[in-house]
Amino acid sequence: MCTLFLVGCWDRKELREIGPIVAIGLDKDLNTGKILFTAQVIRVGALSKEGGTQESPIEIVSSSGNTLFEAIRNSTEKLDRKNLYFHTKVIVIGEALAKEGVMPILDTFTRGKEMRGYVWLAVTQEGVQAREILGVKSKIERIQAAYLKHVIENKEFHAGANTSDLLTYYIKSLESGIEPTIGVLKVIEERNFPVENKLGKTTKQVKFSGVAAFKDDKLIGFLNKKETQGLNWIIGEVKSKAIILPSLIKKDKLISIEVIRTTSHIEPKIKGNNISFSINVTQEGSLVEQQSMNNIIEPKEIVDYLKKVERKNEELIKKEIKTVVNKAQKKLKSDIFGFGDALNKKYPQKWDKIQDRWDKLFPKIDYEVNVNVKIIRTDFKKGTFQPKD
Amino acid sequence: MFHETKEYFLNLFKEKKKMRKEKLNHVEETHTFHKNIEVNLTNLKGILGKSDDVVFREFQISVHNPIKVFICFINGLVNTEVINEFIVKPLMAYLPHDTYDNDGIYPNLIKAVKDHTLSVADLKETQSMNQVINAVLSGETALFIDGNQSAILISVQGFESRSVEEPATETTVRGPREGFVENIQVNTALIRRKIKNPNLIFEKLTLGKKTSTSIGIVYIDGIANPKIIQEVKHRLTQIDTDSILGSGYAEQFIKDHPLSPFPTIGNSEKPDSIAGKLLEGKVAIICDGTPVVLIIPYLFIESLKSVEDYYTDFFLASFRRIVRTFAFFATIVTPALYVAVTTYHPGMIPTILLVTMAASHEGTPFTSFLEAIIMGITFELITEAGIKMPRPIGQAVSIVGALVIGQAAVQAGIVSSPMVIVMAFTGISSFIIPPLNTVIILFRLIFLILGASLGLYGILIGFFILFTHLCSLRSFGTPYFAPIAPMIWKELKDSVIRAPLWLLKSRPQSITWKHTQRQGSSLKPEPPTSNQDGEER
Repeated sequence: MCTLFLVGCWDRKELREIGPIVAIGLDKDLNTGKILFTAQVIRVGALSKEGGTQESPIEIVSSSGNTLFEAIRNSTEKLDRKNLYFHTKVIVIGEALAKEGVMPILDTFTRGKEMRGYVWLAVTQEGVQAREILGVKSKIERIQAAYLKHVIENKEFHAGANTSDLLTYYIKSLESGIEPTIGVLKVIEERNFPVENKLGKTTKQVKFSGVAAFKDDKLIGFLNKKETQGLNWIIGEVKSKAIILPSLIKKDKLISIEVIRTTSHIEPKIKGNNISFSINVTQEGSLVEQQSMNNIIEPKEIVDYLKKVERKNEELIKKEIKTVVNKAQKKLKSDIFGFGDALNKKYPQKWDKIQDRWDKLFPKIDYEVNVNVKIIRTDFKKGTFQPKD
Repeated sequence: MFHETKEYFLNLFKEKKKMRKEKLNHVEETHTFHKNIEVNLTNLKGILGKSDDVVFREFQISVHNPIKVFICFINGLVNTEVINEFIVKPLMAYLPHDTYDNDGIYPNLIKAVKDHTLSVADLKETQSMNQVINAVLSGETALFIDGNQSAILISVQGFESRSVEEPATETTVRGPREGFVENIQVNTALIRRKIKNPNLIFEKLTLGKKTSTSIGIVYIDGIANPKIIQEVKHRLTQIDTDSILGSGYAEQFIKDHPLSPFPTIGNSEKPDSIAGKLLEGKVAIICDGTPVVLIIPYLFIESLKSVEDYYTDFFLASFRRIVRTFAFFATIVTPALYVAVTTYHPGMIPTILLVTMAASHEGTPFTSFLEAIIMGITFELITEAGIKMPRPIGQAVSIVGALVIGQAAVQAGIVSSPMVIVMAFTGISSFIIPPLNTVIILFRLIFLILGASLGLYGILIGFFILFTHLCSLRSFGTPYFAPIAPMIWKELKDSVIRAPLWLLKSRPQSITWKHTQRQGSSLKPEPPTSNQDGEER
């Protein structure tokens, strides 16, 4: 009985002893070739309700080693708590390390003990180290990893970026016929305003934009914002977005369309030995902003006008999709959309035959894009307000 | 020296052996009756006269040849007015002349006195001195007539008794507010008023070697299970003890599984609750001297029920029962869950909550398990103190004490604040089901130890232990966990939820052991059909 008081049973972690790691950064030390492991640990005392709000709730610990596990254990030389991976939210991987292959790096985490599968993955571009991302001060959240996580999760509002979580990355990597993509976190400098009470003239912030494409688990290229939008159209991950189109009433003005719903479907077609795909996208949107002040009152005119807007919208989407598929086929040569996967679902025997040659077949595959847009409502009642003299 | 001690221990041993062999009867050695009243008087005075509140009143029946009589009663237990008016006065004043023949001999004086003189409602004749002694001690008056070998026992009890009032522990909003009192006759009357049925049977027993307490077994003939009645009688008559001061004594001698914390005999202080249970086929035991009546058999599911449930509508009743079930499990498992999850499974707590909890643990020295024990002991002390204090102060002190001590302990850094909340929640939930108090205390400790050493796996093991133990119990032959195990579908309507009264058509099979119907079908209240004579408005 006494041992229960004094020592405790194996596997006990008292709350006083844990150091929950909320974000991890993995870099490659270019001088020594070792792996740099950076952990963002929560300092629990700073978040208590009763006091301690002055100090930062985050502590950054860095260490290096030849393997990740060695690097982690080396970090215990400097940290006074036990690592706890249950609450990790984001893993940021540096570009140099990602080019060598992601799965070998994450191998120690995916052995199933503590890391959850819903951890977001992110990549940094060359010139920015992963630990800089972890060191950026958060905007509103107290815990910086939560700031990163919410910035990543806000992708549903702009569709200019995309990323996989740990589980999805592994699923897509291990499955033939689709390659994963990981989003890119960039560091930008923003000007400080006096009311924000921040030190210095500018502050570093994090921007989530663009993706990195992978092939065979290695990073092979980046997609910029427009191309990522095209990617999102194809894989159906556009939840809400702003689409800017030129106004048809006045030539130099613009209108904004808010995307409400999209569905997308990749349809493989086989004609003899010829494989082609058709990418079908449907979108529902609503007209939310109109810069020209003209009024269209007649219902028929409104309907005609909206139909024209829909056509313009479709053209825009087609253009974005074509841009990205071209890039993926010609430059990246990686099937990040899941064409092979779609073929596998519909014609599994055909897929079995050509699976091994898919790398070579993919850059030459024909495709066509069909887009169907419907603007289901406008957000104004009868027209825009007209200022009177 | 050695020889003396050996003698001493041998004697001790022999005495013990003799005690065990002695056949302990309910009453002591029998005394004998004599025809001569003087002998009887001396005998009786020898047995009862040592105490000053026993009264012996000697007088004479005024007839042609006065006959000596005496009455014996205990002051304080009898209604002296009735004795004066209806026993002493008629005997002194009047005796019909046709009881004696011309020679002055009274052949059947006892009969004459019984049939024509004593205008009292309840009397009997006896020839046993033991019965006389017992009767006098129970508050009856004994009348001895010279020359007769029998005495008349007249029941004129008139002692002070508490008035019928609402019991403190079982308060209701919509039900009747009567509660039992300490007098067995008043109690039986209270039950009789609820069930006016000739099949309602009271059987009387006397238990307790030195106290001779009256015990009544109550049941409804035809509904109650005859096997259970028999078993109850058998067990009660086997009780061989000095005193039965309360129904709790009897309960502890006859219950199944005396070592289990679960109560296999229920109790209640309210006549309507007892009447309801009698109608379901149960057997009740009333003990003279306590207002608490025992109910046999008693199942686990009944500790979650309350008689109030039947007076309110079914939705509220079901909701309350679900809350009670939840409270039962909450009070047993919450401290263990808290300790287990924070020490073994921190991944199950959302990050922000984990950080706050860890922050509050920062300055405290003890492990969560030790904190739980400390807080548990403190809470029990406060509860016990609250019970012992006089009413108005007691409640205030216990609440204030708990809060203040808890807060002060947190600020002193002895325990962490989530632990205070957990223990307060546990403590409050424990007051919801009084019959299961032993279970709660014992199993809370077991779960805490299991949770602190084995985490959630330990809690699971604890639940296995709890449920297998529950399923293994029987209350006078009925499985304790019916209607859940064995599953009796019809009775589930009245277990954790309470279906509307018009659906509860059959009596619980787990009690009566056969199918019986207690009300007709299609009793659901409906609006009247419009097929009535007369105009429609």
